[in-house]
Amino acid sequence: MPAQRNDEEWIALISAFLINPKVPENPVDDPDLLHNKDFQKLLRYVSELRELSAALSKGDLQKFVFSKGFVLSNMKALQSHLRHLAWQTKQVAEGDFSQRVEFLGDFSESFNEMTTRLQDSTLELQRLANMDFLTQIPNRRSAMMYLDQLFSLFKRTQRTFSVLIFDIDFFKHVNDTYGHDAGDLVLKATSQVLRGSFRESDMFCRLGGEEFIAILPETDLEGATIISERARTALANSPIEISEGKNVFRTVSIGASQAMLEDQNYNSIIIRSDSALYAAKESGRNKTCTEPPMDVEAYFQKWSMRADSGKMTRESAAER
Amino acid sequence: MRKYEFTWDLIGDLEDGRPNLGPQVNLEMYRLMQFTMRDELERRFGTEVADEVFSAAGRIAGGEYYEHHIKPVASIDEFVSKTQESLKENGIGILRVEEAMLEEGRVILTIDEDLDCSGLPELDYETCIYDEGFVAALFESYTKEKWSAEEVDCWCTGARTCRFVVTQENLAQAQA
Repeated sequence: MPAQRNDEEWIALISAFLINPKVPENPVDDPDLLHNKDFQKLLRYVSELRELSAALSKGDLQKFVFSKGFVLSNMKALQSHLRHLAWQTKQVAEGDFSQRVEFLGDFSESFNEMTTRLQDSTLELQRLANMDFLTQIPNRRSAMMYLDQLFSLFKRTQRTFSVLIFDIDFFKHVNDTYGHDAGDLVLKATSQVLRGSFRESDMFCRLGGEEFIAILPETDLEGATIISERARTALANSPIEISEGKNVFRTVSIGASQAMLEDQNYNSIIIRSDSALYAAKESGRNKTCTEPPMDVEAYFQKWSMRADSGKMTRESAAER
Repeated sequence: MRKYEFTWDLIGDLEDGRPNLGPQVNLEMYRLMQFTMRDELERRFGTEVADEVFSAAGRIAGGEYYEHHIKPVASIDEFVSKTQESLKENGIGILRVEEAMLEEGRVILTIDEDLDCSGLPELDYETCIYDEGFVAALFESYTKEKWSAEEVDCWCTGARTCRFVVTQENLAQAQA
């Protein structure tokens, strides 16, 4: 009875394929069976099932099989999910923290929690890397990154911007007279007062020591001097408490310049602002100097008079 | 002179037109229209033409969908995440990327709970031909290159998810 023989052979063979660790060599020698299309299909199915399960058990996600059907397809769905998970993990490694897993039960919860925590700690590290610890304003690194962006934009659009560099006058005297703690208080208070003079679109950073920088987008040199003078006078009129009942007043010297078409990079603007700052220091401190030079005091007075008479508001002038 | 050339306006003002029923429709009705249309196309023009029509219609839909639901996107990551979000939000399917080697012109992705096929009876063939065109057009719209998509696993062939291999045609030809 060939059918009976085939049935037995089928069962033995499929069992061997599904259960035995090694597949028997030349498992079928019956030519009828070998040429039976249903048998070939089944043999291929169990072979692929075997291969895919072996690959998955070793974590190999690159094994693709082509037979269709429920059992194999469930394994392919698992493989697909794991491959998607591998892709998601790469995305997270590249900083894409929006990845969430929804299809792997408890693991999903753990993965999603890990991603959230990783995002939080990355954001905190970024914040710390870009922030000045003492004054809690952006640091030199942030300033340079912003200048780089703004300069690229300027080269493309010719929309100018200005840079103010501030240096606290006689800061060494504070440290020498009242100690470094008082010096730190002065730095913090100075940054707070100066920061209050800028617009939301401006960036104000600590460069280091007693030096600060303000980057003013869409602002020409005249507009920058108005903001600069506003900041300077605000500080000069603000008492700084360095110990209980003990107030000091500090002033700043400021160098200002604006981006110019011939500039090759943002360093040129910083160099001009630094040069203007030097001029401010040399000519008596507590003032704004510009490069190229302009009569800041006269301009500011003129602007103040016009502002007082209502012809020009501070805001509209500063927005220039 | 064409009578039925597609423009997005043809979808109409759903809020105005369906104040009581709203923009949603039972998925059964969507499949009823799609599969009866396919039936009639095949009966009149044969299987091959019916498939070609479905694939081409999917391409039009994918391109229009990108224009109205996905763009603008600035990066591949944003393209993937916006597409995932949008397909899910619109009940089209749950998109997952298995690998995205855009520079090599090859992407493997799956769509779970696919609008066209999830829950269909098991058949001997992959059925998401419309989706193949749709997916290819999404990539074409994003990259401005010619892409094709092939469904290699489908609910109808027993898989629980539809898997597509999407290839950029000129790169695939160069590699071949």
